[in-house]
Amino acid sequence: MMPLAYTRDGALVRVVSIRTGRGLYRRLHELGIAEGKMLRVVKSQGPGPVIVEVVDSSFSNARRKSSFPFNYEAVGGRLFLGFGIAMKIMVEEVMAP
Amino acid sequence: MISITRSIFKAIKLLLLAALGLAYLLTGILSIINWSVDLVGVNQQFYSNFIPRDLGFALVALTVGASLVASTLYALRGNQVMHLAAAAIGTWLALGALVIQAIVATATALDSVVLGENIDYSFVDEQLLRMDVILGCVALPISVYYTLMLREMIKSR
Amino acid sequence: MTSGKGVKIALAGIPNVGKSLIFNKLTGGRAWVGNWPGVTVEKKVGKLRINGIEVEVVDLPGIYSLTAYSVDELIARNFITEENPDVVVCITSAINFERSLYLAISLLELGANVVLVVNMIDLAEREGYKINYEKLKNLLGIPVVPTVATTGYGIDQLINTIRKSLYEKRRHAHIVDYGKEVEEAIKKLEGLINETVSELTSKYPARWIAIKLLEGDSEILDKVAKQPRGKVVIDRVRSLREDLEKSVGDLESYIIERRYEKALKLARATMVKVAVPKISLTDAIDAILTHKILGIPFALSILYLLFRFAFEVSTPFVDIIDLLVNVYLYDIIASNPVLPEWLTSFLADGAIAGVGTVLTFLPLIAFFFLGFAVLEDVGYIARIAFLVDKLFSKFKLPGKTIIPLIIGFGCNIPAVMATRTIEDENDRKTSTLIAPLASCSARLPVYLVVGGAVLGRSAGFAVLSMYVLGILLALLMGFVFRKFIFKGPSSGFIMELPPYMKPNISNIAMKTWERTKKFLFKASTVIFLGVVIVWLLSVTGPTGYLGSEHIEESFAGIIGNWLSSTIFKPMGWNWKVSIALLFGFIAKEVVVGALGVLYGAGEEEEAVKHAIMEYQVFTPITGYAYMAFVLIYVPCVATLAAIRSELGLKYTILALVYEIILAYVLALFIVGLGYMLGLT
Repeated sequence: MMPLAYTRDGALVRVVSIRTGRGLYRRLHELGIAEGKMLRVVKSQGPGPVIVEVVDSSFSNARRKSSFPFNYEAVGGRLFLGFGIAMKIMVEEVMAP
Repeated sequence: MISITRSIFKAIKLLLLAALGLAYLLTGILSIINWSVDLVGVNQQFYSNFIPRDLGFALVALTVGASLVASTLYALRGNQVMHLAAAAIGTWLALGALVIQAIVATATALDSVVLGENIDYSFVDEQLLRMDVILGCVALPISVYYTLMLREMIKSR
Repeated sequence: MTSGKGVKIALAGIPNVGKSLIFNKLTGGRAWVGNWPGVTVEKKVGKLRINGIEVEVVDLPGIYSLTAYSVDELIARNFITEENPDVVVCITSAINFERSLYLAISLLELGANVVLVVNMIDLAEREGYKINYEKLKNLLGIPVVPTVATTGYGIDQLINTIRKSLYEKRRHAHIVDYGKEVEEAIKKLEGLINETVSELTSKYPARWIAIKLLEGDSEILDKVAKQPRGKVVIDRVRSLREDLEKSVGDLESYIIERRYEKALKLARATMVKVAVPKISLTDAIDAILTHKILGIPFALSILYLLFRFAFEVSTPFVDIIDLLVNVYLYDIIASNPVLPEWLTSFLADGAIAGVGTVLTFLPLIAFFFLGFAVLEDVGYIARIAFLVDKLFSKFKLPGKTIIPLIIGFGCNIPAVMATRTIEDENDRKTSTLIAPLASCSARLPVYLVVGGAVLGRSAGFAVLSMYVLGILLALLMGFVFRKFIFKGPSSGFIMELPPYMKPNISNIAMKTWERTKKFLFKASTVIFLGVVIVWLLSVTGPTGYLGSEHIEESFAGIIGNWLSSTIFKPMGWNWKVSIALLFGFIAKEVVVGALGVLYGAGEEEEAVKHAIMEYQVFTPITGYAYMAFVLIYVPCVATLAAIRSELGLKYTILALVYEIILAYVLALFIVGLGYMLGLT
């Protein structure tokens, strides 16, 4: 388990916990980032800010594939999470880049 | 037989790309040298009529050069995506510099008209006979090629 | 339709869906920009004519949801409940469908009369999918209009749909099924709400109130508690929450999750795959532009090209204005035989010289903002924020702060206003205070003239160092402010990275005009006033009106002398350059002109430069210190006014004070350092 800020380019991760205030927690949730959700790290300045995609594995209606040979589909636009927030989201790596 | 010619074509393409990249890098380095030498006061200059002593100019040249060289390296390592991307975007920046210089040249000409000055040959020499313009023109066809290749790759695959 | 009051509609949507463009297409550019009452959030209102009726169109801030956690969201939801727009047009993006639908669902739950727009369908098609609008319309029960805002496709149909919806009002509060247990609780609460706090139900649907109470929405809890029988409801809510949380866990999260799932389900049901592209162009471009090593050189190169575009291409236009105003117009006024001398002096040396100088900056600023708007429209500016975020976080600042700083290189006034987009309160205030440290275009002539006069070969480098110094100081002061004054952990920030898109001319024109306009109007009004004062001070003295030939004996001269013999003594600045600094307080553009007048060299930069060299006004060190002082010392009056409207008087004074002190300390330091190194 590690902060999102320390992940590597291209990794697929699952969110374990989010340690922010209420407002930010909610904002993240509404954008698709919450405990148990899967994210694909598009770019990481490791350690640093990250660009992620929210991936939805049950999305059977195939749309824009997440660039790499995963069978996961991206939901919504890319999200850029600042260094501060990326440090407060703890994730575990599900698939290496 | 066919595969040999194909490989030769590939090699030539990469050589051209690398050559252009190195040309830009060299331009950038010379620009920095010219700038620092001028700062110190020594009178030695390298091709200063073609290479302005401007840090920003050097930065752009070095970036383009680095991008194109990186592109050849990616090609050699087999990373087709990055190879095309680096070549396309590197040349876009080169074209950007070319276009900006062309617009600036036009504006300067216009300015001379406004101020009632004469435009003579020195204008062409100063404004247009520069490495960003010359190399930019060379980069133009290369840019078109790699951009089209990139588009192709996006559509299919 | 609401009788009596005019017809009103609102535009809502998440960021980056093309809402501003649609607003523009609907209102045809007839818009008025102000502030939402009591907050520094921009409010845009326009007018649309449908069938002879004037409809007021209000552009709500770009928001993802309708919670009580953010000012923007509160503004939007309060507008809908208090002002009762007849229609709420919810604009969604076909390429960011789920998130846009989430907002649409929230709006429907609020009981708004929603018309759904699906914009950017051309981009979706390019990515390989289409949306089934009929199906969406049936599932949601509201009209759905597909559009391509950039070409105008669908706009007429939208206007027609709005017209129809004005007459057919719909209110669907029950969109999401929250599961058996929660729905039961909602039903009980609804009944209770209708019984006890029915005054609120005239504004909000009872179901919405119930859901919000269960979510723990602070604004609604507050409103209900204030009702005479509100306590009954509050207590019931508390017990219901306790029970529910035993089975579903954190109730707020659960509710959000169900709502989010509904958005996903709707999206899945209505999106149809046509083709599957593997890599998008955006990915490929970003692979290079956000590359660990190449990213920053590209960013700096692009910014360099932007600067060249702004400064060098605007030159002929600057010269045209200069000729027209400072030469022709000035000559006409100055050589007229009719008006009294003082009036001539006021018009020529005061008004025209002062305002004229500012006007010559207009082309430069316009070109700068034009270039910036292109980069912004394409989507690149967000990438720059990403690239610098790591560096900025070392100074406890979000990467987004760089955006106002870049804008500030053109002009500080729109830069100060651009800080509004930073969500975190503390981060935003800090950014507003450090924005003036970005070296605006008005300061450049001072650097060129003074630097050119005394620094010879190193002049170019010195000018560059001013820009770098500005950014460094901005970071340092940002850190100081964030650590000691605007304390508190940053709520960090999240930015959606839109895909790269072809720049749209009307968007770019709109943004460029908005920012240039701010410079023009604020600058011309405030600066004109300042110029009058400056002129007065320089032509009147203790003995009365002196005319423009005796500046040394005027008030301005007296002040200048006092300054140069006291606080500016260690820097060795004479009274003329000291008084020029005073004039620069009004607008930094004026400093060079003032120097020109004081040394009898006219306004032409070359001439002023020669005068400075000839009279040996500065040594290289004192000249460089002067440049640094001008960089930092005070934001121009117009910028101060902008800071005041963002932060209030207290912080404006802080800005003023800290900058003067910082400038003075730095100038002293430079002179001292030079002295120690024997560089006098």
